[in-house]
Amino acid sequence: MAQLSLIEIFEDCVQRLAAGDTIERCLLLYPAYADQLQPMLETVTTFRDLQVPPREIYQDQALVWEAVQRRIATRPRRRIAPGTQLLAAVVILMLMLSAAWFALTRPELPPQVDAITPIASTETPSPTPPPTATASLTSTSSPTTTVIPSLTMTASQTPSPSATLTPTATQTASPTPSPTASPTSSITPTPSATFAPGCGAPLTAAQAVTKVLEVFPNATILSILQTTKFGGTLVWEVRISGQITVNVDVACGTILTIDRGGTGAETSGDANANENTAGSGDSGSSGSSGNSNENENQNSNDNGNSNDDNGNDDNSGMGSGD
Amino acid sequence: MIVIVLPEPAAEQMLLADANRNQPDALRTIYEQYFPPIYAFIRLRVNDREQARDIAADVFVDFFAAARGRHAPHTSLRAWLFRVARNKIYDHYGKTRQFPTTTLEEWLPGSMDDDPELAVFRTFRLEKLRGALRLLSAEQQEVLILRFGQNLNLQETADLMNKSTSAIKSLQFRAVEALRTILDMGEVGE
Repeated sequence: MAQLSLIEIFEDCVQRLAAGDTIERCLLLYPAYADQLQPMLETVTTFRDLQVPPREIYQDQALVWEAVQRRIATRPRRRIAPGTQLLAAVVILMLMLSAAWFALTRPELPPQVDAITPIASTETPSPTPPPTATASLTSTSSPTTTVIPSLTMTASQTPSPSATLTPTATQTASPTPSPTASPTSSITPTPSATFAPGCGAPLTAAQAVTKVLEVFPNATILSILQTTKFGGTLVWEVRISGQITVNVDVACGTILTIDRGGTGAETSGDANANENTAGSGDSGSSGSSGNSNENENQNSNDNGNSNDDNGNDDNSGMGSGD
Repeated sequence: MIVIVLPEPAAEQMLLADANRNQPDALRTIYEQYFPPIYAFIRLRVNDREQARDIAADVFVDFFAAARGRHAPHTSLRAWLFRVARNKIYDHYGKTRQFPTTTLEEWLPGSMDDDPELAVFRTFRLEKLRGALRLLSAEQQEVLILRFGQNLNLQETADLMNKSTSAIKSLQFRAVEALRTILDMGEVGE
């Protein structure tokens, strides 16, 4: 207890000395502890004299200042916090995975996905199309078009509402929405569509012939000519027996139009052919079996590809929208 | 004896605010005002002068870097600087906190006496004191230097050493007592 008191008294005297008081005055305040306090307080005052030489401080002050300035100038930038680094790493990893996933899945998309761009249309003359065959892409139309001479195609389509179709077609359409209608449909879709790159390698003449034969397996190829049509689209113009002219897109390998020469008109009855060739002909391979019969109605749903549906709708819209 | 005039708390806050805005004049002022006590604190613990300079430079580089950021000291700049200096010293000597015991060279008394004989006596006495100081534990050395060498008050010293004020009172009392005993025994410097 006495020791604790002495500690407190010593602290009191230390504070008094720091405030300018003297040792003697402190001893007078605590005479009972004077014998113990005096040597300790003398030690404290002596310790206060223990100082670093001023000359050394002033010399080193300038030296250290220069060193500090040098170090600050060469100090590395502040590092990013570890949490931020981890977050950035995760984001980068996710981006890389997304890019890889996109790269792997991208080639599986049909070429029409980004191949068709909106186009303007002019129609001459255009009879009022039946309600079910308008170019409204939100409707589900099932037109039955009987096309001269023997092509009967039924398209059941569910167009993607995101597609905007504005055919730049000069259409001479005689719609035959009912099975009994007299089909004199002559459609010349003039798609000013610019088929974007990405469809693959340009179609060779032989591949174009193969495409045509997939649709008209019994036809005889009369001539094949590469030309530019439809506002700048490079096509293979394949003339076959029966005065039929088939225009095949060089870039994407899709059949754009089938002209029935006998009537002097063009038909878009190849809508399904287009679809089918799109589904199988992009790679230049021989067509799928579903396309081999030109008389057979070809349903785009067979492909199960909504993007193809867009392409079909494009053509069916032209074909039946008259 | 070096009389260190530290800025008033209000002035210190203004200096800190200016330093936070990266004003070179404020940084320079702070350096000039706080270098002597910080350097003396380091030098009393570190024998080698060059090492003391390096540690002091480390302290102020840290301060200049912190002054512009969110880790800048906001209250007592002096306590902040002493704390950093203390940590640097411990970093320098490792966790053992064992400080060198060799006597310092070419040190002079804090105040010069006109009487050469008295000056010699004082020099001799301080030499003994320095020798005795080196025989104390690291904590005892530290508390004596902070309290009597740097005139830190009880609370500042307690904060700096991560102790209570009661512990500091007890520690300083025992340190002075031990120092007195060593000097009385004449074990050092004779």
